[in-house]
Amino acid sequence: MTGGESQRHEPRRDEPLLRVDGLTVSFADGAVTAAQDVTFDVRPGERVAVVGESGSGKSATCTAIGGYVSDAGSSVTARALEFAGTDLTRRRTGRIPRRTPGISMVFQDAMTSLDAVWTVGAQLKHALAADPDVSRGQWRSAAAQWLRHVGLRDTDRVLRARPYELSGGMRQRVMLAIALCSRPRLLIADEPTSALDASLSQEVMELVVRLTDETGAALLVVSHDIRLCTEYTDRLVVMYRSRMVEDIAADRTAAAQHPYTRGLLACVPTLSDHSSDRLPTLAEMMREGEPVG
Amino acid sequence: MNPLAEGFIDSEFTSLRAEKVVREFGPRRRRHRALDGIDLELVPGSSLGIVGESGSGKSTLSRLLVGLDEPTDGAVLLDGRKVRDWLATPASRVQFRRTVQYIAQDTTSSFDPHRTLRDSVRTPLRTLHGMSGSAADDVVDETVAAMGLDVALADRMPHQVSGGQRQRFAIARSFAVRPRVVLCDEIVSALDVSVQGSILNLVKDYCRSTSAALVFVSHGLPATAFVADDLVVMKDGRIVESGTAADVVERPQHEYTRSLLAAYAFTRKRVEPLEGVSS
Repeated sequence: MTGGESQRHEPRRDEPLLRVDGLTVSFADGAVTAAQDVTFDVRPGERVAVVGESGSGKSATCTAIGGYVSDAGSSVTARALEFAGTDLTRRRTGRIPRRTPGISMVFQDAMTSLDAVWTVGAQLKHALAADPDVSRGQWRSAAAQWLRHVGLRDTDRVLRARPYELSGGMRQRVMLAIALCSRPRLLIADEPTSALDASLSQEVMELVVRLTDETGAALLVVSHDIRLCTEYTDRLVVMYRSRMVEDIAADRTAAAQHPYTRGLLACVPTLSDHSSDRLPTLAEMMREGEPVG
Repeated sequence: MNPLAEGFIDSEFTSLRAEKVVREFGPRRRRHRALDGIDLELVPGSSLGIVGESGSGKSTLSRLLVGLDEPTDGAVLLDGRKVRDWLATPASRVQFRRTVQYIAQDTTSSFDPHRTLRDSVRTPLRTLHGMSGSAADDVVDETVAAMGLDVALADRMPHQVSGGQRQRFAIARSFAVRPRVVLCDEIVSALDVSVQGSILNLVKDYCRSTSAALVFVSHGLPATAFVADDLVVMKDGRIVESGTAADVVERPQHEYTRSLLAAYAFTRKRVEPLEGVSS
């Protein structure tokens, strides 16, 4: 681990790190409600996935938690929204999103979330400024160490490179280095692997899990791929039409109650489907499982 | 019976073949060989899945098969005639496009943002089949409905429908022409898993009922194995393994195929819908 473990990452598993109670996110002066009455906890070091189709409100939930919902006309309300004892609803809002210390976020598209005109080194240096253990003179070696940590070899070249000079997988790794080098206690990853191909997305997911394990950070991952999440997280929060329909342990998905969760699980093509004539579709699964709340 | 199986299929097609196809990119000093001696053949009713990681050359190959690019060496032949010759005159170009249709991954860039979806779906019917406006409109309605879409959506602009709906319109645009060869390049890769199934079913149904040949290019092995009867596995511009989908998936010979399959070695039980569950 770069720079050694620090005490503040010591998880206390008895109380939640993040408490979300009745979170509602709306846009366009209330005309669109993206997430409604969402309630779940994330404990220190826990890995939680928010899954659902596009439009289900999973990204809105997580960007609101990260503090990135700041468009004109948007609103974030909750009975409770607390991170490590801090009330996030009282966070000063304005046009510029305000980052909460201790929460880092990575996005699906590393190309647009990295700055195209700055070198990777400059962007890492900026993020490392938040780490009190890294003095100004040491940033280069700390940055190189982080790049090695996320599995990048040729660190000198990468530090000098601009995002467009790197491959998609490399960019995603740089994003992770930037997100984790400020030593967050919670990493929010919004579809971190959906732009990557299958073997690469597993590699990146494994990296995310390994890094959060090592730093003791909790993980909140947003994904439409319920199968990938079942494999890599502890718990699944399933969202459907802006509402949370199920909160279930990842190893108990076979016992999922809600037809939507069962549908999501069933509609992922598997290798054994090569011998079947039709794939089950979510719409069919939902019709069979009606009525749906 | 698939409604699309009826109608105006008039183009003859016996085979689409790639013979020792080589494609190189870059300046002479630093030549990059994206394809290195590819041989394959498609006949009516056959379906071929091409899998491999990004950079393996599968998209380059699919662009060559539909005439969007030309090989550096070797040839792509439709019914024994080179694709570049098909594309040389306007009349034979129309004939070629009527026979071979291509569906791309990125639906945002494959539709004109200034025209309605109906307008985009209608255009190939007018240019390739010489249909009048109203006749083309009937075909558009029928095809769009066969895709499980609300016909009223056709009068919207591309950005006013979801990604899954837009991909169905892209498929409708190709299927409306009644092609004999359909080439799908990563058509479900950008979509939610929840809509992938219905789109894969549509493609498989069309090719079955019209005995059109299908080339399905994807890095998603399970989806490809479902749609295609035969698979080829590509790595660094070469075919490292080929065979029936069942053989490749169940009895992989090449080390690389095994590593690709390992990425899908999830243990998941089939989940059946519960009866009478209320929320």
